Amino acid sequence: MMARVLRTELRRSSALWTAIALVVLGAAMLYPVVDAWGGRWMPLALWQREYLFVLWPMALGAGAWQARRESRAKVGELFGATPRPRWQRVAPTAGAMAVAMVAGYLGMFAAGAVSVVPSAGYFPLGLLPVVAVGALSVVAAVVLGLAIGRMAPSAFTPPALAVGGLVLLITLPLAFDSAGDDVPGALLLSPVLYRPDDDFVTVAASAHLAQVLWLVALLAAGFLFYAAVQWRTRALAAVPAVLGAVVALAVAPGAEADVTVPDLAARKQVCTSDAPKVCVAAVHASALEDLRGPGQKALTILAAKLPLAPTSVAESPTLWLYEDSRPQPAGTLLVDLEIDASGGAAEPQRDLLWQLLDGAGTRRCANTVNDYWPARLAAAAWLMGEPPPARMADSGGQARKLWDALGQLPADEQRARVAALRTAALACATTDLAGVLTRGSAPR
Amino acid sequence: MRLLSLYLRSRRVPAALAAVLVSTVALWSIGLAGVDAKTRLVLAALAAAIGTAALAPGLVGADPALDRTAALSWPPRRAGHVLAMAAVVAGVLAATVLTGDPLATATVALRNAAGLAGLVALAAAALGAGLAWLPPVAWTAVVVMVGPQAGGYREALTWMVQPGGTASATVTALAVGAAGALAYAWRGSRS
Repeated sequence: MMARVLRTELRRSSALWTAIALVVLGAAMLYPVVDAWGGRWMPLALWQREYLFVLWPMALGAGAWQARRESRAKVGELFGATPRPRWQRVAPTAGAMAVAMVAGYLGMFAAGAVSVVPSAGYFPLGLLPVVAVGALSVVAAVVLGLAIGRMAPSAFTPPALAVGGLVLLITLPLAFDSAGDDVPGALLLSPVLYRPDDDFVTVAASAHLAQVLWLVALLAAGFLFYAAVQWRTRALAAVPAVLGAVVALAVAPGAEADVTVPDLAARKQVCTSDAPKVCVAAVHASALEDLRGPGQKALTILAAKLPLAPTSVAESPTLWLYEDSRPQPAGTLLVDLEIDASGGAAEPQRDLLWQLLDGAGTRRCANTVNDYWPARLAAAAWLMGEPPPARMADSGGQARKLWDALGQLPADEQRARVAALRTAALACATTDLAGVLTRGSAPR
Repeated sequence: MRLLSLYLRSRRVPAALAAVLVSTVALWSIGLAGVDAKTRLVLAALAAAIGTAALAPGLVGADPALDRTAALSWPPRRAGHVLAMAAVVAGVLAATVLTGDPLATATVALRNAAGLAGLVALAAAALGAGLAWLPPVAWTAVVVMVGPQAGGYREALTWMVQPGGTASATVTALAVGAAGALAYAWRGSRS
């Protein structure tokens, strides 16, 4: 009986159109930033969660719109006179809207998955709760919207909820941000998940748990408020909401930094079978073919021109710019890959080679002296045996000058100075790299 | 005069006008906090979207069936309603010039108001006045999220956050505005 009514509600309510609108709106927001998630599952799921900024208030508005149906048709009094309890009468409506929301959210994910499936090799199971909690959050929003829309059945309610919710979700993190850098875990009560910068993280289980508890409580409160007839019962809706917030805050991680945890499986290196070994992180496995050529070429050049050259290429998920004073490994050539929309390397092969040889095969450190990058580029140019190209942002031609000066020296001296630069850059200590190139040793 | 004021009241314009004023002042005061030009364009787009969305429910009266029986020529009146909507939103936005710290230049205010008012009118003709707020709010929200894009169709699609004088943005806004005004003048709100 209930299933038959639900089927009717799915056809007679705004459920179908709401789901379609959600997919279209979601895809319209995802595809302009396809470079940031194409070919990778977790970034897609996290971008989708970030876009709850817009989708969540829209779901509120959709619920409020649906709740106006009875007052629009002027049948509220008639339906109120039927002996069937109100909650039994409204459950199919809420159910139909919930089905629409889940279908729309998953449809948006599927629209994104079209650009992930062809190239993604790494499927993290941690993806499933990220998507599931996102879908739960829009269900909670639509039921909350039904409750509010029933209370205030005005034509202004849906737009006011959508716009008001949007403004609230945008300003909430700003308000917390001004309180200091350490954003409290209370921000998890907002369904928007703040997207971390890299592809190597997953979301902590405690964060999921806190959000599920809170959203289920919110859903229960919304439905209670929507289904109740008497004011006393409606007031009871506050109980699950408050209880859910308290419990969620108790289990939530204390700081925003603890919401995401490193995904070790995503960092596991995937390597070429032939020597010399070129490796990328598992999450970027689709870019291995793009890196193979430049990687092996870079290793060959380094081995031919410098002593103590590295023997393999590996992708380093950490940015050395933020790692304080930790020396880099000498035996491995580290690379920081940018990925494009189809899962391949974003840079052309020749630029990748230049990037690999930058700083004589080292990564940039936070604590080298200012203007160290022309010296790094000049070292790469020496290894390549050609002048530094203008597209490598050699503004003012400083790298060109350093490279010219280096070329005037005897061959042995050239080799010694570039080797010294490599040693200094690997140490990641405070060093004047340009001084190393022009004088042969770093002034202390 | 009396007829006009009755018409405006029947279309719930006073409440909507208050919403336009409050939202524009609120966004203008955020813009006072020394934000860059790009953020200010985003605020101006949001102000125009919220303003036109607030006026959207007024595109239909309490009893559209009864309205249709009136011996009046509705198309020019409907077109006038859309134009007035665009003018009010543009006027309130551009009035921030008087404070010496404008939220938007007159060009941007006019372009956004014309385009979004037309979009609201188009949506009213296609979906009904009750849902007419949805397309402008959704489109603007997506564009605010994505940010202004450069070149070709991407520039035209993100017209509401392009700097004033961007040709493709102006053309898109005017095309949407004209299409909306014509469609609404011809059909009226879908009931």
